[in-house]
Amino acid sequence: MVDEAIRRVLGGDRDAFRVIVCEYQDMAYSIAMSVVKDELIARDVVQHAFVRAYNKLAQFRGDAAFSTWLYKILVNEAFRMLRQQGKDKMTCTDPLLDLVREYDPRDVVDDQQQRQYYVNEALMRMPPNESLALRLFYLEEKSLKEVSQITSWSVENTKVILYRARISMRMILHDYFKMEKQSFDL
Amino acid sequence: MKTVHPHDDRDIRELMASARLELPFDDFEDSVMEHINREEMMRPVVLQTLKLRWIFFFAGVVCGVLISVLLPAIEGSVFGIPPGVLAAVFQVFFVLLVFLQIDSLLSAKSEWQPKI
Repeated sequence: MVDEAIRRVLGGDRDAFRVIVCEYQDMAYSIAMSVVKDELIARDVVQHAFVRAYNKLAQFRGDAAFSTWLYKILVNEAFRMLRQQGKDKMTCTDPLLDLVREYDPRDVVDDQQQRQYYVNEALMRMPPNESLALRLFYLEEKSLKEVSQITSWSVENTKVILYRARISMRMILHDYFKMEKQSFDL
Repeated sequence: MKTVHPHDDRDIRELMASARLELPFDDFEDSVMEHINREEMMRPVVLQTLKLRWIFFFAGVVCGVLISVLLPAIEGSVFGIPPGVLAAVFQVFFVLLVFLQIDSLLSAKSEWQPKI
Protein backbone atom coordinates (compact mmCIF):
# COMPACT_ATOMS: atom_id res chain seq x y z
CA MET A 1 0.00 0.00 0.00
CA VAL A 2 2.82 2.38 0.94
CA ASP A 3 4.85 1.42 -2.14
CA GLU A 4 1.86 2.17 -4.32
CA ALA A 5 1.38 5.51 -2.55
CA ILE A 6 5.05 6.41 -3.12
CA ARG A 7 4.70 5.61 -6.84
CA ARG A 8 1.57 7.73 -7.06
CA VAL A 9 3.17 10.69 -5.27
CA LEU A 10 6.20 10.51 -7.57
CA GLY A 11 3.79 10.34 -10.48
CA GLY A 12 2.28 13.67 -9.42
CA ASP A 13 -0.63 12.58 -7.20
CA ARG A 14 0.12 14.78 -4.21
CA ASP A 15 -2.87 13.58 -2.20
CA ALA A 16 -1.52 10.00 -2.15
CA PHE A 17 0.98 11.19 0.43
CA ARG A 18 -1.93 11.19 2.90
CA VAL A 19 -1.74 7.36 2.91
CA ILE A 20 1.90 7.53 4.03
CA VAL A 21 1.08 10.07 6.75
CA CYS A 22 -1.77 7.86 8.01
CA GLU A 23 0.39 4.77 8.04
CA TYR A 24 3.36 6.20 9.94
CA GLN A 25 2.04 9.10 12.02
CA ASP A 26 1.60 7.22 15.31
CA MET A 27 4.97 5.49 15.20
CA ALA A 28 6.63 8.72 14.06
CA TYR A 29 5.02 10.49 17.00
CA SER A 30 6.24 7.78 19.43
CA ILE A 31 9.78 8.16 18.12
CA ALA A 32 9.66 11.96 18.25
CA MET A 33 8.37 11.82 21.83
CA SER A 34 11.31 9.59 22.77
CA VAL A 35 13.64 12.40 21.83
CA VAL A 36 11.87 15.69 22.55
CA LYS A 37 9.58 14.59 25.44
CA ASP A 38 6.91 17.18 24.68
CA GLU A 39 3.64 16.62 22.82
CA LEU A 40 3.54 19.93 20.93
CA ILE A 41 7.20 19.89 19.97
CA ALA A 42 6.86 16.25 18.89
CA ARG A 43 3.93 17.23 16.68
CA ASP A 44 6.06 19.93 15.00
CA VAL A 45 8.94 17.50 14.57
CA VAL A 46 6.69 14.89 12.92
CA GLN A 47 5.10 17.51 10.66
CA HIS A 48 8.48 18.88 9.51
CA ALA A 49 9.76 15.35 8.97
CA PHE A 50 6.78 14.42 6.77
CA VAL A 51 7.10 17.59 4.70
CA ARG A 52 10.84 16.97 4.33
CA ALA A 53 10.19 13.36 3.36
CA TYR A 54 7.70 14.54 0.73
CA ASN A 55 10.25 16.97 -0.71
CA LYS A 56 13.00 14.35 -0.78
CA LEU A 57 10.86 11.43 -1.90
CA ALA A 58 12.62 11.18 -5.26
CA GLN A 59 15.85 10.47 -3.36
CA PHE A 60 14.37 7.34 -1.76
CA ARG A 61 15.94 4.54 -3.77
CA GLY A 62 14.49 1.60 -1.89
CA ASP A 63 17.87 0.29 -0.61
CA ALA A 64 16.39 0.19 2.89
CA ALA A 65 12.80 -0.06 4.10
CA PHE A 66 10.78 3.12 3.60
CA SER A 67 10.20 3.31 7.37
CA THR A 68 13.97 3.29 7.99
CA TRP A 69 14.45 6.13 5.50
CA LEU A 70 11.54 8.13 7.00
CA TYR A 71 12.68 7.58 10.61
CA LYS A 72 16.17 8.76 9.73
CA ILE A 73 14.72 12.08 8.57
CA LEU A 74 12.51 12.16 11.66
CA VAL A 75 15.33 11.44 14.12
CA ASN A 76 17.55 14.11 12.51
CA GLU A 77 14.70 16.59 12.79
CA ALA A 78 14.02 15.61 16.43
CA PHE A 79 17.66 16.02 17.50
CA ARG A 80 17.88 19.30 15.59
CA MET A 81 14.82 20.52 17.51
CA LEU A 82 16.29 19.21 20.77
CA ARG A 83 19.47 21.21 20.20
CA GLN A 84 17.36 24.27 19.45
CA GLN A 85 15.26 23.90 22.61
CA GLY A 86 18.20 23.12 24.89
CA LYS A 87 18.78 19.72 26.42
CA ASP A 88 18.33 20.75 30.07
CA LYS A 89 14.81 21.94 29.47
CA MET A 90 13.68 18.46 28.41
CA THR A 91 15.23 16.12 30.95
CA CYS A 92 14.01 15.62 34.50
CA THR A 93 16.56 15.53 37.29
CA ASP A 94 14.65 13.23 39.63
CA PRO A 95 12.69 10.69 37.64
CA LEU A 96 11.36 8.76 40.60
CA LEU A 97 9.91 11.70 42.50
CA ASP A 98 8.22 13.05 39.37
CA LEU A 99 6.74 9.66 38.62
CA VAL A 100 5.25 9.32 42.09
CA ARG A 101 4.07 12.92 42.22
CA GLU A 102 2.15 12.59 38.97
CA TYR A 103 0.65 9.22 39.77
CA ASP A 104 -3.08 9.22 40.25
CA PRO A 105 -4.64 5.75 40.61
CA ARG A 106 -8.01 7.09 39.46
CA ASP A 107 -6.52 7.75 36.01
CA VAL A 108 -5.83 4.10 35.33
CA VAL A 109 -8.51 1.49 34.77
CA ASP A 110 -6.77 -1.88 34.52
CA ASP A 111 -3.33 -3.51 34.73
CA GLN A 112 -2.65 -3.08 31.04
CA GLN A 113 -3.34 0.67 31.19
CA GLN A 114 -1.33 0.95 34.36
CA ARG A 115 1.62 -0.79 32.72
CA GLN A 116 1.32 1.42 29.62
CA TYR A 117 1.27 4.50 31.82
CA TYR A 118 4.42 3.58 33.74
CA VAL A 119 6.37 2.34 30.74
CA ASN A 120 5.68 5.56 28.86
CA GLU A 121 6.47 7.66 31.93
CA ALA A 122 9.74 5.78 32.37
CA LEU A 123 10.59 6.39 28.70
CA MET A 124 9.83 10.09 29.17
CA ARG A 125 12.38 10.21 31.98
CA MET A 126 15.17 8.40 30.19
CA PRO A 127 17.84 10.18 28.14
CA PRO A 128 16.64 10.75 24.54
CA ASN A 129 19.10 8.35 22.94
CA GLU A 130 18.15 5.51 25.31
CA SER A 131 14.39 5.84 24.93
CA LEU A 132 14.84 6.21 21.17
CA ALA A 133 16.90 3.02 20.99
CA LEU A 134 14.30 1.09 23.02
CA ARG A 135 11.40 2.25 20.87
CA LEU A 136 13.16 1.52 17.59
CA PHE A 137 14.53 -1.85 18.66
CA TYR A 138 11.65 -3.30 20.69
CA LEU A 139 8.57 -1.46 19.51
CA GLU A 140 9.34 -0.92 15.85
CA GLU A 141 11.38 -4.16 15.79
CA LYS A 142 14.24 -2.67 13.82
CA SER A 143 17.47 -4.63 13.70
CA LEU A 144 20.67 -3.25 15.26
CA LYS A 145 21.88 -2.38 11.76
CA GLU A 146 18.68 -0.50 10.98
CA VAL A 147 18.75 1.37 14.32
CA SER A 148 22.32 2.27 13.49
CA GLN A 149 21.28 3.54 10.02
CA ILE A 150 18.41 5.58 11.44
CA THR A 151 20.41 7.18 14.24
CA SER A 152 23.84 7.35 12.54
CA TRP A 153 25.36 5.62 15.59
CA SER A 154 27.78 2.75 15.01
CA VAL A 155 26.41 -0.76 15.62
CA GLU A 156 28.70 -1.10 18.66
CA ASN A 157 27.49 2.19 20.07
CA THR A 158 23.88 1.14 19.46
CA LYS A 159 24.48 -2.04 21.48
CA VAL A 160 25.95 -0.01 24.36
CA ILE A 161 23.05 2.46 24.32
CA LEU A 162 20.51 -0.40 24.30
CA TYR A 163 22.30 -2.06 27.21
CA ARG A 164 22.21 1.18 29.22
CA ALA A 165 18.60 1.76 28.24
CA ARG A 166 17.54 -1.66 29.56
CA ILE A 167 19.28 -0.94 32.85
CA SER A 168 17.70 2.54 33.10
CA MET A 169 14.24 1.18 32.37
CA ARG A 170 14.57 -1.54 35.01
CA MET A 171 15.96 0.88 37.58
CA ILE A 172 13.21 3.46 37.10
CA LEU A 173 10.41 0.88 37.20
CA HIS A 174 11.98 -1.15 40.02
CA ASP A 175 12.48 1.93 42.21
CA TYR A 176 8.95 3.05 41.59
CA PHE A 177 7.34 -0.28 42.45
CA LYS A 178 9.51 -0.59 45.57
CA MET A 179 8.33 2.84 46.70
CA GLU A 180 4.72 2.02 45.90
CA LYS A 181 4.98 -1.20 47.95
CA GLN A 182 6.41 0.75 50.90
CA SER A 183 3.53 3.21 50.79
CA PHE A 184 1.05 0.31 50.89
CA ASP A 185 2.91 -1.27 53.84
CA LEU A 186 2.57 1.92 55.86
CA MET B 1 14.31 -10.58 44.82
CA LYS B 2 14.78 -11.94 41.31
CA THR B 3 17.96 -10.64 39.66
CA VAL B 4 17.61 -9.83 35.99
CA HIS B 5 20.68 -9.71 33.79
CA PRO B 6 20.80 -6.58 31.62
CA HIS B 7 21.37 -8.72 28.51
CA ASP B 8 18.14 -10.61 29.17
CA ASP B 9 15.62 -8.59 27.22
CA ARG B 10 12.47 -10.73 27.39
CA ASP B 11 10.83 -8.64 30.12
CA ILE B 12 11.75 -5.37 28.38
CA ARG B 13 10.33 -6.66 25.10
CA GLU B 14 7.12 -7.48 26.91
CA LEU B 15 6.99 -4.08 28.62
CA MET B 16 7.77 -2.17 25.44
CA ALA B 17 4.83 -3.80 23.66
CA SER B 18 2.63 -1.35 25.54
CA ALA B 19 4.74 1.72 24.81
CA ARG B 20 3.13 2.72 21.52
CA LEU B 21 1.68 6.23 21.59
CA GLU B 22 -1.11 7.61 19.46
CA LEU B 23 -0.85 11.05 17.96
CA PRO B 24 -3.33 13.10 20.01
CA PHE B 25 -4.12 15.61 17.24
CA ASP B 26 -7.12 14.87 15.01
CA ASP B 27 -6.24 17.47 12.38
CA PHE B 28 -2.65 16.29 11.91
CA GLU B 29 -3.06 14.73 8.45
CA ASP B 30 -4.85 17.80 7.10
CA SER B 31 -2.25 20.06 8.59
CA VAL B 32 0.61 18.14 6.90
CA MET B 33 -1.22 18.09 3.55
CA GLU B 34 -1.98 21.81 3.82
CA HIS B 35 1.71 22.50 4.46
CA ILE B 36 2.68 20.39 1.45
CA ASN B 37 0.13 22.09 -0.79
CA ARG B 38 1.45 25.50 0.28
CA GLU B 39 5.01 24.45 -0.56
CA GLU B 40 3.91 23.09 -3.95
CA MET B 41 2.32 26.45 -4.75
CA MET B 42 5.54 28.22 -3.78
CA ARG B 43 7.80 25.82 -5.69
CA PRO B 44 7.79 27.57 -9.15
CA VAL B 45 8.59 30.94 -7.56
CA VAL B 46 11.38 29.46 -5.43
CA LEU B 47 12.87 27.63 -8.43
CA GLN B 48 12.83 30.87 -10.46
CA THR B 49 14.61 32.67 -7.62
CA LEU B 50 17.10 29.83 -7.41
CA LYS B 51 17.87 30.19 -11.11
CA LEU B 52 18.58 33.88 -10.57
CA ARG B 53 20.79 33.02 -7.59
CA TRP B 54 22.88 30.72 -9.82
CA ILE B 55 23.22 33.45 -12.48
CA PHE B 56 24.40 36.01 -9.90
CA PHE B 57 26.67 33.42 -8.34
CA PHE B 58 28.48 32.79 -11.65
CA ALA B 59 28.65 36.52 -12.33
CA GLY B 60 30.20 36.97 -8.86
CA VAL B 61 32.71 34.19 -9.48
CA VAL B 62 33.83 35.82 -12.76
CA CYS B 63 34.21 39.21 -11.00
CA GLY B 64 36.06 37.57 -8.10
CA VAL B 65 38.53 35.84 -10.41
CA LEU B 66 39.13 39.10 -12.28
CA ILE B 67 39.74 41.00 -9.05
CA SER B 68 42.13 38.38 -7.70
CA VAL B 69 44.09 38.48 -10.97
CA LEU B 70 44.15 42.26 -11.21
CA LEU B 71 44.80 43.04 -7.54
CA PRO B 72 48.50 42.00 -7.45
CA ALA B 73 49.11 44.10 -10.57
CA ILE B 74 48.36 47.37 -8.71
CA GLU B 75 51.41 49.54 -8.31
CA GLY B 76 52.19 50.95 -4.86
CA SER B 77 50.16 50.10 -1.78
CA VAL B 78 46.47 50.43 -0.85
CA PHE B 79 45.99 52.07 2.60
CA GLY B 80 49.56 51.04 3.38
CA ILE B 81 48.89 47.36 2.57
CA PRO B 82 51.03 45.78 -0.17
CA PRO B 83 48.90 44.53 -3.13
CA GLY B 84 50.23 40.95 -2.70
CA VAL B 85 48.90 40.72 0.87
CA LEU B 86 45.62 42.32 -0.15
CA ALA B 87 45.22 39.81 -3.01
CA ALA B 88 45.98 36.86 -0.69
CA VAL B 89 43.40 38.00 1.90
CA PHE B 90 40.84 38.61 -0.84
CA GLN B 91 41.45 35.15 -2.35
CA VAL B 92 40.95 33.41 1.00
CA PHE B 93 37.62 35.19 1.58
CA PHE B 94 36.62 34.64 -2.03
CA VAL B 95 37.22 30.87 -1.87
CA LEU B 96 35.36 30.60 1.45
CA LEU B 97 32.42 32.56 0.05
CA VAL B 98 32.31 30.42 -3.10
CA PHE B 99 32.18 27.20 -1.05
CA LEU B 100 29.49 28.54 1.28
CA GLN B 101 27.38 29.70 -1.65
CA ILE B 102 27.74 26.41 -3.51
CA ASP B 103 26.66 24.52 -0.37
CA SER B 104 23.67 26.80 0.13
CA LEU B 105 22.64 26.63 -3.56
CA LEU B 106 22.95 22.84 -3.73
CA SER B 107 20.92 22.34 -0.53
CA ALA B 108 18.24 24.67 -1.84
CA LYS B 109 18.26 22.79 -5.15
CA SER B 110 17.85 19.38 -3.50
CA GLU B 111 15.14 20.75 -1.20
CA TRP B 112 13.05 22.34 -3.93
CA GLN B 113 13.73 20.40 -7.11
CA PRO B 114 10.63 18.72 -8.55
CA LYS B 115 10.17 15.12 -7.37
CA ILE B 116 9.80 13.55 -10.81
